[in-house]
Amino acid sequence: MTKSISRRSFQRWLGLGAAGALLAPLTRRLLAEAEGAAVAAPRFFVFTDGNGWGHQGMSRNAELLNTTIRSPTDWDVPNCLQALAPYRSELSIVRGLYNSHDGSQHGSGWATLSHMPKPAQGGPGGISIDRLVAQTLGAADPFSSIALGLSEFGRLDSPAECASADGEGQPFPAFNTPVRAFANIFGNGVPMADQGGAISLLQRDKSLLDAACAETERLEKTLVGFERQKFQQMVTSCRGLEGRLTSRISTLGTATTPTAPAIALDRTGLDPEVIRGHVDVAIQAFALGMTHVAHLSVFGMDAHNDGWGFLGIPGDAHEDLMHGTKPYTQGHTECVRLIADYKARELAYFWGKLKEIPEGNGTMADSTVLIWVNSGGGKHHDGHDYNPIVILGNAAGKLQAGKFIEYGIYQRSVSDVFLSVAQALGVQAQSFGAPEDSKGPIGELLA
Amino acid sequence: MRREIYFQVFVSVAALACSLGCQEELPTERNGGASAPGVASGEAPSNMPGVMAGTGGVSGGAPGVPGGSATCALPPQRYSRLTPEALESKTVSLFPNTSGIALRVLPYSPTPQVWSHETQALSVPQQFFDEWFRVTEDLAANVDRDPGIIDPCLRQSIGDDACVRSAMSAFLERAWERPASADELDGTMQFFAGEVAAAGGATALRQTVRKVLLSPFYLFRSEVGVAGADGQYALSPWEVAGALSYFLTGKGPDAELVQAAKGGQLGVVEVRSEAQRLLASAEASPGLVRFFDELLGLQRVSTANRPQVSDAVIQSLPEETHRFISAALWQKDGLLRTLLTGNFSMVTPELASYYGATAPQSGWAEVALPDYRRGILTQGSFLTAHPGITSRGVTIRNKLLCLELPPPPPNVNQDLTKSAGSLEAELGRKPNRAEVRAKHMSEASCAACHSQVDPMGYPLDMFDNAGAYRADVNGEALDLEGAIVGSGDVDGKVTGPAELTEKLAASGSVARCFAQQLYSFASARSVGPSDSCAVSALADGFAKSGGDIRQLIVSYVTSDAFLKRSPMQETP
Repeated sequence: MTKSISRRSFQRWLGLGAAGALLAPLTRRLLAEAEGAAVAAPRFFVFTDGNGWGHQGMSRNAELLNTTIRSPTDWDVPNCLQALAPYRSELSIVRGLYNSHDGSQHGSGWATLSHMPKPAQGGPGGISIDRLVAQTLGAADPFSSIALGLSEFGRLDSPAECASADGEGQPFPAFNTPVRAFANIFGNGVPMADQGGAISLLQRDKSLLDAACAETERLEKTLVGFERQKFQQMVTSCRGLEGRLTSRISTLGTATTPTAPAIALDRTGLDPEVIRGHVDVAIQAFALGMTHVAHLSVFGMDAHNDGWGFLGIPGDAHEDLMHGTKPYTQGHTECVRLIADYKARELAYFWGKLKEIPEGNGTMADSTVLIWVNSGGGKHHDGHDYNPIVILGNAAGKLQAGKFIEYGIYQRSVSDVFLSVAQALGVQAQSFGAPEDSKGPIGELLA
Repeated sequence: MRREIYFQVFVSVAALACSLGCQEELPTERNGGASAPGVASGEAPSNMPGVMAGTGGVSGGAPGVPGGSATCALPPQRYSRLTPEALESKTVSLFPNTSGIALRVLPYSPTPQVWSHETQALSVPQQFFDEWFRVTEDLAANVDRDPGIIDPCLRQSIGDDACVRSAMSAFLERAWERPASADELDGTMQFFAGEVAAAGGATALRQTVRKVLLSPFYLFRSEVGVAGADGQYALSPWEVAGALSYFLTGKGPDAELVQAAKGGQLGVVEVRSEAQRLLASAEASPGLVRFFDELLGLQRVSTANRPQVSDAVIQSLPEETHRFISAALWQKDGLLRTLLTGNFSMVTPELASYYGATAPQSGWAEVALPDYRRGILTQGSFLTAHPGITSRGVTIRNKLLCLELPPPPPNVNQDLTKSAGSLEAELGRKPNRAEVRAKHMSEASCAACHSQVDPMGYPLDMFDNAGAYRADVNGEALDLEGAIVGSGDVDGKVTGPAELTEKLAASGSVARCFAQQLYSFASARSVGPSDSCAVSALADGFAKSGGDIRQLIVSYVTSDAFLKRSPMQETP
């Protein structure tokens, strides 16, 4: 049904264009380091899973995250997060957060990352936290942020999934195949038979984009309200692409070539190679300076249609995983643990790779913050008032790490954690999400 | 303003009851039955579902009352981004060779509360723009191969300014589905001249064509109109042509509509004529078929967990319903009653076997169905898309009665650990259907929602999750006695599908809701209190026509609600 990019186009994008695309940000980063930049610009990685952590992950008597907590700083890593145990000193868990803007049975959907009510007209109710942070961290990047994802059902906005947004009614959809994401992030978009010809064609495309953007800007200025916002987003999209072309023109000729995911062009779905492909795209996008903000959304615990079969979980484990009503062979807690453990292992892989990339006097992980957020599962599958958020990293010392913080009902919202992390990353915001839920940053998290 | 038209989504509250261990999950936005844009009962102080309180507004004729004196608010001015399907259709019409080009950029799958073409659901994020930019590059290869596809004169010389100007003027009109203004054409020619100077004529032509395709006027359709002395904005003939065509056919205006727009002849009389012309043929089928698909959630037909029926048969069910709709609207009387109660369908030999009907020799043909198959709610597509009692009942309640579910009891415990107290746990064995039914209807926490929907699903219980007839379930007898709940006019006991559909077809509430749903779909947005006047007038006309769907459409497209706009508003 979904027609993807043509293979012809794709192969062409991976020609010289990919090389050219990468030099500017890489050069910028290397130059900054050479010039003695003391602290690398922070990075932000958001990992979301739809449908929460399942019944045993989030309810008030949750078994899954239960562990020995001797004090907020002296606690044992929960069983399902053992893959992250090597990073215990950088790991924090905040539990008992509410997000009342779920709007559906199966998850908060757009509200997961925006913490805003769903408008009657549908679509997102406000800007998502990754896009807000991108306005600060990604302003000078080829991509202010990237959104990657996959869905058991191939939908971009299922309520069980978590999507990014630029504001009310302005979705920021995810690339749902790693190869497609790779092509868009690292590709070029023009045929290049030779170097001189390539520059000439890029210049023509820049001229074209400038004219197209200007036309949209003229229209946008004649509008008001929501209509104006729609075209502001289009202008941003257009100027963003124009900026990337400009970078390519100025740096064509030297290359650092990223590695494309070694899977089929249109492969997507709940598939370990697809998930790993997305993770690798995000790592390379960070490493090569294409962006400082990435969001990866992976379907959650629903387990319809044999989604988690590769973990040995039965095809129709939905009732078991989400409701705890049908005892399967493995037992539902074990099923949920398997899924959470799998995701933790992927995040450990991601974090480990960042730790292998030198930056400044340390590694790229030093300046990065990762948050693992779930959709809350809605009122149907899980208590939307008891979400956990897992945090990795200390944002170059701006966040306290190694904390286990637990709140009582309706004490703190998901948006308060988002705000805390955003402030640690340098965002000058004093509130986030629905005003009635934003009680300010969490002091125990900020350094 | 937007808060005024905030409607509760029933699923978020309906779920509460289920969290207590009810045995059949209330349908979700994925597995069926979330509300379409509808009217919250709390906002409609009326005993008739779907009726909204009038809120007044600017002066304008109500639907079906062209130039009438009723006072109805008008929808605001707006730009609507074309759906991926519409964008593909328009682009294919402009270029001879689009094979291998991924025209359907960033397909969007909205939730069931949102029509797929709602303006709120479609924007131009970075990913879309990046992909579309590359698509324009691929499309421009057509121009490289043959500049004559833009205008034959370009085959002779791209350096002839008069030829280029004439060619671009015509191309802009086809691409933007309206003539370009003098300023717009001048700007296009200036860009072309700059590109000629920089890279030569051939490159200039291809880049100019791409500029047209990258324009907001290519990606969006305008409904902004021209200001009148009354503060209202009458849509231009071109805007009317586009609105009418995309509504009915799902694609841009045909040659006759274009001619009418060019002649500036698209007032009420001409629009009625054009609408009747389109409605007289299956040309209007794609748009209306999509309306029914999205209204009834027919896209959710699935072969999963239905081993009793072949995948091929299940996969053919949506087409059967599309053919049935076309037949009911264009070969029969076009009445809502026929859609809801027609004892026929269009089937292949395989589908005839599935239905137990007389098989045609080959291909698709109309056949009579068994007595218990009456209308669209008893067709395999609906029954497969909504496989359970509750999901069928919810869909009837939401989509045909425009009702949402009441909020859950205040003492509902949402803690899922309560699921340990489920019926299965209580009994120590799997409950039978009668026990589940009794629990849903008797236990307060379940019944708050299930009693509003399940009774409308019981009469359809003779159809399994693949829509196939069944006499019992594992030897347990079926109980087809149910009830219509909440209609306000046909409430009460019904037994079996024939009586259910007959009563629904006789309901004024169902007719009124249908008019509201069509209005919402046609205007590509959720309706709110400010639409109540227009919807009421439309529904009244629909009732007077005896439920004539084509007449309903004509009434709508000749109303001010279709032909005029109020000013766009600042964001609160």
